[in-house]
Amino acid sequence: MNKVLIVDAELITPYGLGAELCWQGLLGGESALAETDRFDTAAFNSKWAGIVPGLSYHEGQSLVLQMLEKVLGNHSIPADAKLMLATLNGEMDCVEESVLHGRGEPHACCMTELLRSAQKLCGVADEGAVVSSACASSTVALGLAASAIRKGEYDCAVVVSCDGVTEFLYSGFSSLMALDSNAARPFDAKHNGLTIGEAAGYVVLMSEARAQREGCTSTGELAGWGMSNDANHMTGPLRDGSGLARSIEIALKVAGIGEGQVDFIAAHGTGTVYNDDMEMAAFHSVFSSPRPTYSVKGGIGHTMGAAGLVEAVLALKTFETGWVPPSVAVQVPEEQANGWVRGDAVEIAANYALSTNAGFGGVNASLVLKKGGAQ
Amino acid sequence: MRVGILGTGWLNRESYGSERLERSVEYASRVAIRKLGKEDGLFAYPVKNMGRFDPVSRRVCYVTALALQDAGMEYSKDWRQDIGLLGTDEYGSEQANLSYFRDYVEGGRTMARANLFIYTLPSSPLAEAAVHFGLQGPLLYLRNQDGSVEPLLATAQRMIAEGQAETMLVYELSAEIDRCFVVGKSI
Repeated sequence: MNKVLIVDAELITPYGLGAELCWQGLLGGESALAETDRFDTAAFNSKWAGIVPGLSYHEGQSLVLQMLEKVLGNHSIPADAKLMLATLNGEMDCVEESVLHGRGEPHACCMTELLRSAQKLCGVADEGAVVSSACASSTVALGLAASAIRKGEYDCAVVVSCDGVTEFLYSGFSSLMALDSNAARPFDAKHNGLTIGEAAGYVVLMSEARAQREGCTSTGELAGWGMSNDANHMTGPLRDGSGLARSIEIALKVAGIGEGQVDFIAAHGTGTVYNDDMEMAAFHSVFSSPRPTYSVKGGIGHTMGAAGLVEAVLALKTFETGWVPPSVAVQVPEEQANGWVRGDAVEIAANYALSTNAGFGGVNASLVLKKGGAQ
Repeated sequence: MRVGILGTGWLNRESYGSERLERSVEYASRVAIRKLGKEDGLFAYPVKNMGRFDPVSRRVCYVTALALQDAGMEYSKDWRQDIGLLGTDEYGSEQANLSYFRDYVEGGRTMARANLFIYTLPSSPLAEAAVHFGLQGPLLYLRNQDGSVEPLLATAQRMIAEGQAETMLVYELSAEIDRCFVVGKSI
């Protein structure tokens, strides 16, 4: 069985370009969420968003392509890497331009067009595949790619993920009454909804054999992955968390570890009451004792399909630095999160992390990450 | 024990059917498929709110019922099964995206319809099937550049071998024909 190592990764988030910048912001407890003027929010029940600085809107190039250009620029992806593009639904600002201004050709906004652009930006020969599984898209894509590497179908893959803050998405989440009227406060006693954010990033996965052969440095191992569905409701999760718990248990099994070995949890933590309560119920059912748990969404917002990839990359920073970041915006944790979630950073010697995501249609996905070199 | 295709259901503009049962039933047009379930006893129990589904979700529910029937697999609203869903089509949720945003713009960009928004994800039609048939395995949309279903079948087999699900439903949806393959362990 091939070990799957993470040999390269980068992010662009509302803090700016670079995973390190995002990490420092989160570790310092700062939020990059702000009121947005990208579009008129007067009709919505929020004005807040996590916006990547320096992007143009409705001026030719889509938000996700602008982010991908920035994050993939000056990075060298192995030309033979298999490509997976994970997104909620791609270039929705192009759909907006098509409807509002009659710009663009039919099908120009479809995800295979974005996949072609991602292939060019990555400089890989593989035509790639699009993975979409709601807000668990990039978690699922990482799991699929790791699974194929572990089985020996290929020895290198690049998972690229992106989603932007558009009027399309904002109006939709507003219609579902899912937005917090202020900045999101995941796992806080006063949590009341999510804040939409945007991000893009990539992760290069490689078999241990190839990484050793090529002298690649690993920042961690993708050791386990699990996926499940609630089979319950299109927009509401199973309240008892059993769906998410199922994906966690599969991920632990694939990783070959017990719950006791997980040192910290990078939770989905959207800030909606339904999600946060469901997630804590899942953690209570799987884990025999509390683990340091946090959400990054108080800092960058809910970055949709990109959320899982962003959270996995940031979890590696805990292995590197020995710090679990604070759950930004938490003042008093909600009752179920008490003893798990904190508003300040925690020093830790961690070997294993769990990262979880869930989304529309009842999807759940979990990853187990292992510190590079940990036994 | 090997992993293979246990059943297949299909639906096109003129007819619907299943492979192992060698069934092919003609109907006038896809417009008529709304009545299909009632006339044919296709579903074990009524699909809740099916009239509100987007067209792709309805088609996915029909081919799912046909495929499960073909594979001899039962389902119930009282229990869930370890079955995942993996699907592809040509343009993702393109039509649903346009329908949602046009409706929002025509309404003065003040009030969006949640019932249209929920179908703007390519995975949403699979999710409607998961809810109705009680399928709690992995659920994802996977589209290769050439649109072929073979990589999806291979992915489904790998997911079963790895323990992500006991059985996977693989969907190939197109303007010409929709197919659902039941991939699982056979003795």
